[in-house]
Formats: sequence, structure tokens, C-alpha cells
Amino acid sequence: MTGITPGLIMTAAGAAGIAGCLIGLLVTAVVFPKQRKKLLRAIETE
Amino acid sequence: MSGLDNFSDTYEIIEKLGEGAGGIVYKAYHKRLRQEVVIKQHRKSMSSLEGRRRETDILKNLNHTYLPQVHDFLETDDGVYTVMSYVPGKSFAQLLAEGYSFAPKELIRWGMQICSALNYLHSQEPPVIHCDIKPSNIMLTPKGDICLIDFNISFYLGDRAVLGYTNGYTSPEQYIMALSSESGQNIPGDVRIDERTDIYSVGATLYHLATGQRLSGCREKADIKYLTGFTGDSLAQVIGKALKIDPGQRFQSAYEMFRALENIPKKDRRYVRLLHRQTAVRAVLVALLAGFIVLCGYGVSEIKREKMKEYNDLVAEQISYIEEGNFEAQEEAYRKASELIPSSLESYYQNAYALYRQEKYEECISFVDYDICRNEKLDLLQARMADVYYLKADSCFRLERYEESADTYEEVMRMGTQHAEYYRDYAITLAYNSEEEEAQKVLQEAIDRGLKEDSVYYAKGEIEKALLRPDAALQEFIQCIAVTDDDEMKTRAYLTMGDIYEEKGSNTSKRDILLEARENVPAEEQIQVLERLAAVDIELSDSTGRQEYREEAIEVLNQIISQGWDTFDTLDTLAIQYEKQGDIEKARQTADQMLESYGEDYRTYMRYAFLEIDAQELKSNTQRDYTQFAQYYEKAARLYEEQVKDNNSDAQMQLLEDVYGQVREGGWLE
Repeated sequence: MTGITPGLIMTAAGAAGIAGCLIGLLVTAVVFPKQRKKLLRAIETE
Repeated sequence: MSGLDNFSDTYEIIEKLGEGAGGIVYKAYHKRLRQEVVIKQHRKSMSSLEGRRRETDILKNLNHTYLPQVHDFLETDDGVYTVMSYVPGKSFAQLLAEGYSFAPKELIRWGMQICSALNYLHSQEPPVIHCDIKPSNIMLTPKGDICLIDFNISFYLGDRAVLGYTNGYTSPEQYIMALSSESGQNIPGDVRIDERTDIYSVGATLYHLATGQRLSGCREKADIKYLTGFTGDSLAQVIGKALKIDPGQRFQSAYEMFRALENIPKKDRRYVRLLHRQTAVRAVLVALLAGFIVLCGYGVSEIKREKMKEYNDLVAEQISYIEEGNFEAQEEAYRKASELIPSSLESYYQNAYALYRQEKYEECISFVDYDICRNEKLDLLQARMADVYYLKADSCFRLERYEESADTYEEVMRMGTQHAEYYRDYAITLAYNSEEEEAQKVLQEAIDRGLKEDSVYYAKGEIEKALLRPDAALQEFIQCIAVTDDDEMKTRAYLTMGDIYEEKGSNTSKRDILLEARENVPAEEQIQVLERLAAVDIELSDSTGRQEYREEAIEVLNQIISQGWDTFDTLDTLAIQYEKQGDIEKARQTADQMLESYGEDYRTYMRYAFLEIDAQELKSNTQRDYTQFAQYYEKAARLYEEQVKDNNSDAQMQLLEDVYGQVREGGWLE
């Protein structure tokens, strides 16, 4: 294989995207429950 | 107070807290424990001793944050007393009386605490039903938590006896059972007390706390719209469900109601919006993830496709280079292709074929044996392996290793080839391996598989030749040449006929048949014909001394060179022929061409040296000068040492050394 081919670009972009999405999902798994808890506390103490 | 005097050594009565249908309640001080307690004097008329013991036994066994702890149960002639921990604070009934306005968040929190206590009671074995949940039986401690008190009508689940009721809080089913019990009537069979009875009472209590108005009776349907004005929709829905007349429509357990209360904040619009937003973000991320997975998968398949295309292009290059005779470029393409996809056989096959086409049969066999058959990355069971084995088998045949060739042909057959030509060549090999009968059988199989007529003649010719019947063989080859339109086969037939004439010792017939071949085979198939024709012409010239054969040889060699098929030996042979003709100048020009085409090679300088000797011999003794000869010799000798490891192997070089020695001895060199 020589040079940067469309297949290589697609694979690299896909892999980077997968990694990004997985990191994003991981962040949401940590951050979202905290957001919900915080809001619930705020609602309860109103 | 007379009964209480019995305990004066242990308890000191502080004050009377209240008096009700169940009895009189005193606040007291436990002298030994030094803590405030509540002593409840049970009215004799209220229940039997057994009933009172039941309440105490229930409470004694319970331990929960939102329930009081019973310390003692005392019985005298004057009455029965229960001692329990003092719960400071005010009851919800007192708070209502004081006009306290219960906020929805307080109702939720305390409602959950009530449900928690009830869940504990209901989970006892047997389950305990409180049966008297109402504002006056719920204390609010200074800490802000509730305490569920007064179990004087508590009820073990399964026991159909009901001890009492409180209008406005009692569930319809408990009310029916209590009335039936009071009037001595039979309790209807479908009416029963269970956890849901307490759920109703919790609902009625919360309703009262929220609205400040208690339900007038168990038959009154709660006004949820009215309630919503105080609590908001979510809490009103929960209370409304708890207040359903039909127990089947209420929460089925205190835990269920606890969860419903707990989830009320989650029904807040802001919370719902946050949830939707979070769900949307996650959905987008998941969709993107799916998209990227698809993209990555497509990319990988695209890389494979690109790789395969590049591989196929390289193989096509290999085929093209083989056709052009550019074998170096072919090998380069093979290396690239086999590095690109090491598990694909095709480039290996083409490289083996290139070696075969170059008549490098030993290398072809080694390549098949070591680079292909011992290559773990290759699938050796694929059909294409038949073609690979064929190359090896035919290479063995050409090297006259007939037994090995026959064994390899068996591999070809084992791979299940459909090529009739492979059977034909197998038959020829068998004949050369002195297996005539087997050869005939295989040839017949080739014919059965549709072997063409020309191939049949060719095979028969080879078989006859192998069986040492040259005349019969010649006849078969003549037939083959007559009918075939396959130039390669025609060439092979001519060449084999040449070999037969050579074996018969008839070089003129060989020359004739090669001349005929030169006329009848196309240019691209002529290389072997021309090489053999030049060789036989040289032999004839040397043996007969007739110069026309040498002239023909020179003309044929020049044709090979003009076609671009020449090798070092072609030019060297041509130089020798010119030399033998006495045309030293043309011989030198040919040697110049050797130097130009093949660079520094001892053989070129050796040729120059021989030509120089011949050139000097044509001169008179006085004009001879061997200086140039000595320079050529010295250069050839130096290169010979560098280029040939076993530098005694070239007879011509030995001869040149002898000549050089004679020249020195003759005093021609200083």
C-alpha cells in the first residue's frame, strides 16, 4: 500500500470517531447522573 | 394514680400527656435509666389482656428509626401499663391545630418516612398492619423526622378481628369490618385487611395535612383537583392513588408508594427536560458511534479492496513483464506483491512461471519446493497449486529428472486438474521414465479429457522418442506440425525433431529442420530455434571447415542480438566467430558491445586479449607489440580473481595464462 488512500482515511476517521464517541458516552455515564442528582437536590430543597 | 404508685420506686410521673379511647398516657422519668419515658395505662374496657399484650409484643419486637422503642410491659391488679421511649415533639394533629401549613416537599419527605416505617411493619412475619394511621399518631421529632406511634389497634395480617377505626382515615374495608364486628354481623367474605389498608390511611392523612381538611368518611371520594391546588399534580396523583376505594387500584405495598413519592421530584418539568436532553445527547452519540463503526468497517473493506486491486495490478505487471522478457522487473513486482498479500498464491505462481520461462529449471524447482510448498501462509490445497506443481514437474522433465517429474505430476493429478495438456505431459514423462504402459493409459485419459489432435501427435512423438523409436517419433512430430496452430507446440516439435536428428548424428538434417522452423514459427517463439541453429552452424563450420555455415551462424547471432534476446554468451560467441573468420575489427566491435552492455567482466578482457594476440600474429615480427595484450591480460586476471571464487575453473583463462607465459618467455614483453 502506498500513500494515503480513501480506505485509510475512512478507517482512520472511523476509528477516531469510535474512540471519540466511546469517550463521550463514558463522560455522559459519569456526568449525567451527577447532573440529575444535583437538579433533584435543587428541586427537593426549593 | 393508685396503680402507678406501684412503680414509684422505678418511675416518677411527670405529667399526664393525654387521655383517649385507648387509655391514659403519662410522661414519666425512669429513675434508674435516667431517661424520660411514656407510660400508657390501658383502659380495661378497651381490650382484653391478651389484646394489650399483643400490642406490646408487637412493639417490643420492632426496631426502626421511625417507630418508638417499647421498654416494658407491666401488669397490676389495677391495670396494664406499657412503658416506651418518650418521643419529644408535636403530633401532626397538634401542628394542624396550630394552623401549620404543610409544604409539598415536607409531605413528600414525611410521607416517605411513614411508608418506610410501614414497609418495615408489613415485612414482619407475620406482617403487622398498623390500622390506625392518622395525624395524631404521627409525631414530628425536633430533628424533623416522624415517629409512628400508638399501636393500640395494630393488627396481625390474617387475623380477621379488627380492634377499631378512626373516621376520616380508616379505609373502607377496615370500616366495614369494624362495623360488622361491632354489630356482631358476619364480615363479608371479599373484605379483608392487608397492607393496602394502611396505604389508604397514609393517603387520607396526607390529604388532611395538605388541604387542612380531613375526609368526612371512607365513602367520600377525595377531590384530587382540589388537592392539586395545594400539592401540585404529581403529589396529588400519588395521594389520589392511595385513596382509591378499591384496594386493587391503590399502591400494592408501602414500598411502591415510597417509590412513587420518591419519584415525584423526577416528574418536575426541569428534571424531565434534563432527562430528555441527556437522552438526546446519548442518542446522538450512539447514532454517531454506529455511523463511525459503519465508516470504519467500510474503510477496512475499502483498504482490503485497494490492497487486492494493487495486488492484482502487480500480478498483471508480472504477467506483462514475463511476456516482454523483462524478468528483473517481474521479480521486483513479485516481491512487492508477495509482501502485500503473502497468503495469495498467484504472484508466487507467476514468479515460478518466470523462472520456468527463463529455463532456470533448478531455481524454479527450488522456488516451488521452498518458497511455496514450505510457506505456511499459503493454502496448498487450492486448485491453482496444480499449475504450480505442473511447473515443477515440467522443470524436472527438462532437467531429465523423469522420476521426480512423474512424482510431481502425481501431485498435479491429486489436485484434480482439468487440463488435458497436463495429462499429456504426464504421459510423456512416464514414457521417459520407462513406464510405457502407464504412459499409454495416461495419454488415453488425456484424449478422453478432450486433448486436441496436435497435442496427441506431439505426445505420441515424445513417447516414441522416449522409447527410442526415432523414426516413428519424427513421423508423429511431422503430423503435429502439419495440424497444429499452436506456435509454442510447433516450436517444441521442431526443436525435438532437431534433438532426434542430433541423436542420429545428422547435423545437416538438424540444420534443415531448424531452418524450416525459422521460416514457420513466429518471431516471439524463435529464440530457441535461432540459438540452436547458430550452434549447429558453428559445429558444421568447425567440422567441415565450410565458411558458409559460419556466415550463417554470424547472421543468426546478429538476428538474436537485433531482437534483444542476446546474452553475454551470444556476444562472446559472435566475437569468436568473427575472430575465426579473421575479421578482427568486427570481433573487437563485438567485444566493445560486451563491455558496454555487461560492464567490467574478465571474460570481455580475456576476449580482447585473444583478439590482440590474433591481431599481432597477423603482423611481421618487427611490428609486433604485445603491450596492449599484456594490459588486457592483467585486467582479465585481476577481474577473474575478483569475480570467480574457484579461479581455476575457466579453461579459456588457463589457456590465456599459458599464452601470456609464452609471450613473456619469448621476450616480447619487457
